[in-house]
Amino acid sequence: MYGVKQLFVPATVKEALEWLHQNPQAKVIAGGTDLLLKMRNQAMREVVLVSLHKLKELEGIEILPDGTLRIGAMVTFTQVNRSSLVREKLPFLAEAAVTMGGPQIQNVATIGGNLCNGAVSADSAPSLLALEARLVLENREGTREVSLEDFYLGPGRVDLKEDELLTAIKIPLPRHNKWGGYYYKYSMRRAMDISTLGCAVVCAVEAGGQVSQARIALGTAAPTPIRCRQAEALVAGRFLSPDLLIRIGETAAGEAKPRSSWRASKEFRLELIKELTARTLVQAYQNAGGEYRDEN
Amino acid sequence: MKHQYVGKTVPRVDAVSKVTGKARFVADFQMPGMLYGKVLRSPVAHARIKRIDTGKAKALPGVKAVITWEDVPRIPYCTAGHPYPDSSRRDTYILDNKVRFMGDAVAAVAAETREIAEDALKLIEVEYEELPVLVSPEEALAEGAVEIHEGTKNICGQHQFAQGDVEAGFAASDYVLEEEFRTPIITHCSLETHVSLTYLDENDRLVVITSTQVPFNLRRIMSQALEMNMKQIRVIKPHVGGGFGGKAEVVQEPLNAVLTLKTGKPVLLEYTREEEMVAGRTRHSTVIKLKTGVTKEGRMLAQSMKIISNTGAYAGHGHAVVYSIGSHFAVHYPVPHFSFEGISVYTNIPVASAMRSYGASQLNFAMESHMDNLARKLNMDPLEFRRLNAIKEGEKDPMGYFVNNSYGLAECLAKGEELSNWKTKRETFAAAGANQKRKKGIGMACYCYETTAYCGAEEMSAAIIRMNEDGTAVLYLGSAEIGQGNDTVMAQIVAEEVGIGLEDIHVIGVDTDVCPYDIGAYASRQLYMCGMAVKKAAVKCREMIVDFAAQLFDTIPANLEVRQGWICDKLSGNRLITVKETVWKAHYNMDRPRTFVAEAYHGAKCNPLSYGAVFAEVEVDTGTGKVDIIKLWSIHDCGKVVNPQLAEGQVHGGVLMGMGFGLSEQLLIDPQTGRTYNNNLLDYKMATMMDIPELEVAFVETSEPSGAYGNKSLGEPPCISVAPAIRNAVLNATGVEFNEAPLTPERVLLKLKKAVNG
Repeated sequence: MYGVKQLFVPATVKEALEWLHQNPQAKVIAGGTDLLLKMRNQAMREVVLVSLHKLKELEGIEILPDGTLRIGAMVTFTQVNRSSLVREKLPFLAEAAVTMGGPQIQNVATIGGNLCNGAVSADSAPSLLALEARLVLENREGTREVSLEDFYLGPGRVDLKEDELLTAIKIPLPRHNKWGGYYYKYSMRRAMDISTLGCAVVCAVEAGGQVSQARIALGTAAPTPIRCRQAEALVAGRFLSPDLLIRIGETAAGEAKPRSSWRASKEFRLELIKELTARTLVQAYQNAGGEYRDEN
Repeated sequence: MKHQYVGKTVPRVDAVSKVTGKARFVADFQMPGMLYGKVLRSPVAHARIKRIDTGKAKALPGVKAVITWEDVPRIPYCTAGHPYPDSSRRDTYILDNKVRFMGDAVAAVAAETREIAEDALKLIEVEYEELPVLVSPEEALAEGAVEIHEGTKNICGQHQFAQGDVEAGFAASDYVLEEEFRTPIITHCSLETHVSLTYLDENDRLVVITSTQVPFNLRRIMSQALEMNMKQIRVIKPHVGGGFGGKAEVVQEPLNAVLTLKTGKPVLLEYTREEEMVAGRTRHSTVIKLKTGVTKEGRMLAQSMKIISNTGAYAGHGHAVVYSIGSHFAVHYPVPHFSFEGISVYTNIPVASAMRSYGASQLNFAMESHMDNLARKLNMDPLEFRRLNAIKEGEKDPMGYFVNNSYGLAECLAKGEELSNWKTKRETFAAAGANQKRKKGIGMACYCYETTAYCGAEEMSAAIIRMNEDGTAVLYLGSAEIGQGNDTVMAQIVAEEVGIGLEDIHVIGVDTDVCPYDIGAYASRQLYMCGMAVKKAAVKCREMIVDFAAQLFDTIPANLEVRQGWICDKLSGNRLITVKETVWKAHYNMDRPRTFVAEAYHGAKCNPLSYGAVFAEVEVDTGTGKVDIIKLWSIHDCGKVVNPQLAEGQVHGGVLMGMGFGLSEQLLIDPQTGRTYNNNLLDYKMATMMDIPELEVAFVETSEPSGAYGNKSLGEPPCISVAPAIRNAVLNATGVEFNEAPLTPERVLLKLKKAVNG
């Protein structure tokens, strides 16, 4: 019923890239949780598939010599969640990983697949945007790196050529000694749901309690996942206050471009952006060791 | 009287086969040469079919039949799975030359594989002459609107009734409140979609293995739709993966039968989830206007109700649902003056029909929301306001549909009040909530509900018990096990009355070739109706066995009784012989051999009311619009409980269904094109296991004199009052009245913002 015309299972990345070069119409399958749905719905038929399952090079989570954290593109959400390295270095990312789908999906869906699928609702995107993650893309000719922000081109469109593979995600670890992050997934259910809005904030706090820097990212708020730089600028160097939080929410709402659909109205999404940007910032600030008494 | 099996939690008779995956559902039946059916569905919501060309589809290798309206009997039939005469309109053809909703059947294919069948669908060329699309009842009832079914003015049914003088009642009231409530389109989401396997047996009889709640009504309707006599049709209901009313209907079996008749082959027709949610059945969306007059002390004097029910493209159970709403309307809060007007309207949307509680969920959402709004205006505690006005012990149904001979409503209210700590929470939540972003609230709602379809439908159940030679037994049922535990409780009754073990009983249900007639699984009726038939048959059976034993011991039956599997001397209590050994001796007997086969039927003579209440504690996040349920208390008077664990399971499922109605579930339709937006389980927000709140279930066990063991209905009731209880808790938390379900975060947040900003 899935209409697979051919399945190629390369043993090495080199082999995969060579094959992709010769079969540019082929579709890359990682966890398959997005692709198989499209095939079942007959959005694709007679598909030629390249499976990445045997590529050891795409697995693993490690710290590189330059201090960045490398997550292989085939690492699953469950693996991100359970990685002691991720839990130690980026605890909020470990938590964010298990907001996606349900346990069964998390066991097979990969972080690379989640990004390459290009969905505006991708649960890994806001956190990785706020962490300024970079993507390692390879083809037969060589390797290039792009920032995740540049990788997203439009709804469902990413900067990935037909013969390219995403092989790893590189995350520069925050260097500030007081920093924290948080991902707020807002969805209608506690599992098996796509986000109505996703917000991630990474925030560093000065000894005196001021926010030294915050990075704010939103998913499902514009045609692609976005950073909210004006809101970020507003918070840098400031103490949190109810007034500031309101202004941050409003600024983020101004930067977002949500649309009305039968799933949610623009009016509703804007209200959520205002509220959740502020809430996520407060939570990230608290995770960084900042003290802020939320009136909630 | 002390029972050995009735009233006890015993393991389900199908527990092992289900948990080991051996239990067979329709799609598990594979037959040699079996073909796969697929249905071509209309891409437009309303059109005449000008031309269909099936040539290319028929030419595709592996395709065995392609059928259109020209290939099926031109006989309109009623799809509602009720007994004869039809309770709803005969407005459906197996295939028609007109399509009436997006997803309506246009043609069907039988092919060697699913893939070939799907490919063949794409090769069928159809030319449509499009007609105006009417999505809302307002559009359908507008002057000059195109008729979806000729000669109906798009009215599927309407009726009205009144008692007293409602206008005089309003005039005499100190206060009159008139409000409008809206309920969404809900869909059943049975784990198993509509599916049937049809084939011809060696005598060319049509065999239909199908996932149905109504095997006998289905056979009757098929015999009419296909012009075959009942002898020519055998319906088998294997294990069924949920029905909830969606399978109290003949949805796809006649179409599949035509594929089998054309090809001579077995055909499996199984709906996909996406297909099920468009071409299956839904709960009617309604607009309900309630107007109530009260004295300043809170006594209700007069009430009127007007309901518009959107039945979609075909009647299904159609206006019968509004009849049921009307019958329940006047009895919950009896007033001297009342009036009711109901209309069911055809539109170009998926077919609304029977769904668990048969309209009572819509009625109850409106009524119980209205009651809280009224109490608020009167500055009364909503629980006390209900106590003042609800039906009392011994009080009669003013319309005479229901009997009130076992009354537990007051006790349900008291129990809920106590368990939920109602009084304290009403006071503390209201005091604490003003400036908090997350506001707590507590609310409640209550219901009364029927136990059978009597006197809306011709009620009957029957059962046959056949003792095997060794004293084990076969129980033949016409009532339908669809997951609720029907076969288990019926076996409990046989074990209890005959005096054999539960493990000694094999249940066969349902095969119309061997099982006795029963109208099926709806109206929460089976334990009440079929339970009585089984009890009668079991008592007959026991009496025959005791009679035989009396001959063995040279005494008279009156001197003997059955206790825990033994036939005993009544006076001394001495054990004489086991029931099983008696049966053995009767079969292998030179002098007077005999068998023990007992049949009994039961017809309803009344329709008892069950009662219940739901209390809900919630926390409303006024920043995000989310309503979190802290805890639910679900309390029911279903008479005596026959199997506590099954009963509690029934309540759990019902509560989740009611919660979906209250908070998240709604099938969304494009108002312009009639397209269903969210016919999948990602976008249709049914709760997952992670969303289930803490739930406490309690029973108030009255004894219903007309029930086999004092029992009344419990199948549907647990879903009824959940949504309004949640809604009323949100009102308590926020002070904002939500008169439309579900209370989605978007609806809640935007209305709260509006309330704050004015």
